[in-house]
Amino acid sequence: MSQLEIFCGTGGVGKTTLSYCRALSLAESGKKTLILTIDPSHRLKDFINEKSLDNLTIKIVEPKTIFARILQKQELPKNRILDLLMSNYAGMNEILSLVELQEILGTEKYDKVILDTAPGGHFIDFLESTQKIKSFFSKTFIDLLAQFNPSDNAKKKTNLFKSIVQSGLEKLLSYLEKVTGGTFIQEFLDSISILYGLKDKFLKTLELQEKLFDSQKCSWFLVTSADQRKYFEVKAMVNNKNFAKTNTFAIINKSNSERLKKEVEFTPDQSPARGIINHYLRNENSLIDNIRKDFENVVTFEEVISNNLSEQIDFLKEEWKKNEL
Amino acid sequence: MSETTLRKLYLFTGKGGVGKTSLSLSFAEYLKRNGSKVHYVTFNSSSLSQKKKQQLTELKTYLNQVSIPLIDLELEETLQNYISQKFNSTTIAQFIVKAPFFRSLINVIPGFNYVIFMGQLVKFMEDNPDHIYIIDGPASGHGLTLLNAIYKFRDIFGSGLLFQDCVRLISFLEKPENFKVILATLPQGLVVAETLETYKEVKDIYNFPIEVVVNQSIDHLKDLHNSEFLKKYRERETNSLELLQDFSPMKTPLLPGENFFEIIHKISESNIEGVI
Repeated sequence: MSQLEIFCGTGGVGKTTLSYCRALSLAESGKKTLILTIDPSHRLKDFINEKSLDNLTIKIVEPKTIFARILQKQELPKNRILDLLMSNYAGMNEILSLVELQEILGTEKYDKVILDTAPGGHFIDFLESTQKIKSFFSKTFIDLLAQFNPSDNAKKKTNLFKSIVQSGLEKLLSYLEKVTGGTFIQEFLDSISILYGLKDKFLKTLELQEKLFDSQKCSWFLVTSADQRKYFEVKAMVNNKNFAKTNTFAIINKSNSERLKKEVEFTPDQSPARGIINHYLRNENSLIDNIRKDFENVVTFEEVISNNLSEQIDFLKEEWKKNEL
Repeated sequence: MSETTLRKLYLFTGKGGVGKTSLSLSFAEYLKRNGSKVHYVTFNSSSLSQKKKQQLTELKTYLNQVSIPLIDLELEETLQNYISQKFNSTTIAQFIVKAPFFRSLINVIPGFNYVIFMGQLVKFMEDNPDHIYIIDGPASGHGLTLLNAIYKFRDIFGSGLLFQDCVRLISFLEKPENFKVILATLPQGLVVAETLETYKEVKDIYNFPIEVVVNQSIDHLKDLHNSEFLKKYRERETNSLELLQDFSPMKTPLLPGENFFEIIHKISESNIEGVI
């Protein structure tokens, strides 16, 4: 199996818990494992923090910290737009997790590296289009910023807005100023100049892409949940041409069909209870049918119907071991 | 202010997979049936995948059947309209919207799009004071981003047209007769724990009226017929709802159905009016 494993899926399918259990199972079987996770819930975070394993390193992606580090600063420069860009839900999350990932893979300290991505197809969209990263450094920006030298921006900071107004963009900015106010544009340009200074670092992450779609180097786990009707997200990924040659596994999490098949036999036909059982079975069967059509490798995890997190984690961890992936 | 008076705007939010869409749709259907002029609002970016477009088409078909108009706010078009209104000129609006500089600004800064969407929505609401708008909001994190954005951008802009709109929006949202947040959750420990965090954030920071709705409850089932699955489900439900004791949350039943829209219809006939 490849060194890198990436977990993707929509919100609420259990992706973070499942990837954490994967990491636990690998670490327990003697592999030096690192898991890089984005925004776990507080409860899981607390749980993770309590447990420590020699072979397991857990990193939580904190955009502000990563960004300050690549800026080689103790803290972020004071800029409210930059603060917004580094918030947990900003589009910078994906690119910063790639920066972090690149660094981790470069150290060669780990047998296995697991990346738990933010919910939704954002990560895939991000990789596929790379629009976000490129739009940062699009020609317009470069033209715009060529007029001033980002390296000594301390002096020229206040002049940036002026220098742009003097260029051909005067008209546009005068309109924009009416929409957003002048201070905002000034602050936005400042934040962009800071990002521009890190251009090379960001563009370098594009090199990672090749590795991510190489079946020898990376495996993808696309997580779905039997209780959600969101197969279209996974389907969209299957259709993505980048995935054609990858080592991809579809995961059906929170499955109940095995136990429900038995319960159909003794619950009365017309009872409301039976109605719910049938409903669950029907949903899950249709998900399974769809997934089998699209994927060769399908892994199913039974639902642990309990609020006991440690029970859930132990179960999923053992299931991972049984699957021997 | 009586609790049973309809607000002008409802925002449905909650963790991924808890049923925001089904609850917001069934509430819209309920209101429609009871004679309200209701609009269903979704936010979309211009880059929808093929599958999502298909889903949107299904949604349109459904809303059409129940005669509820859909306001599908698409970023570029909304921006264009919005700025046209502001400058009283489509040419200027086109000039601004098409500028790569402006596009990058919108794409890169989180929440900027929400300010535009909400600004447009308030315009609709002012034009139609007796109409009701229901937003199928983004999942919790982004749901709060939506509210956060309006306040943050008010402070950052400090002047200009968008600043004025943020101020207007905030004064609209802060009137309890106008706006309510519906926070959907599931009867499961981890989900409820996250819901509590969001609840506190909405309460502590904004003090907006908020209703917690526990979706897919099986409280209504009288006889479980020895189903292990349902017994465990109930145990998990009872156990997780202890965390929510202080709020006495509303529960919407888990109802089986042949398809998504049949389920929505059933929920609209259950107790969904409670979110008013």
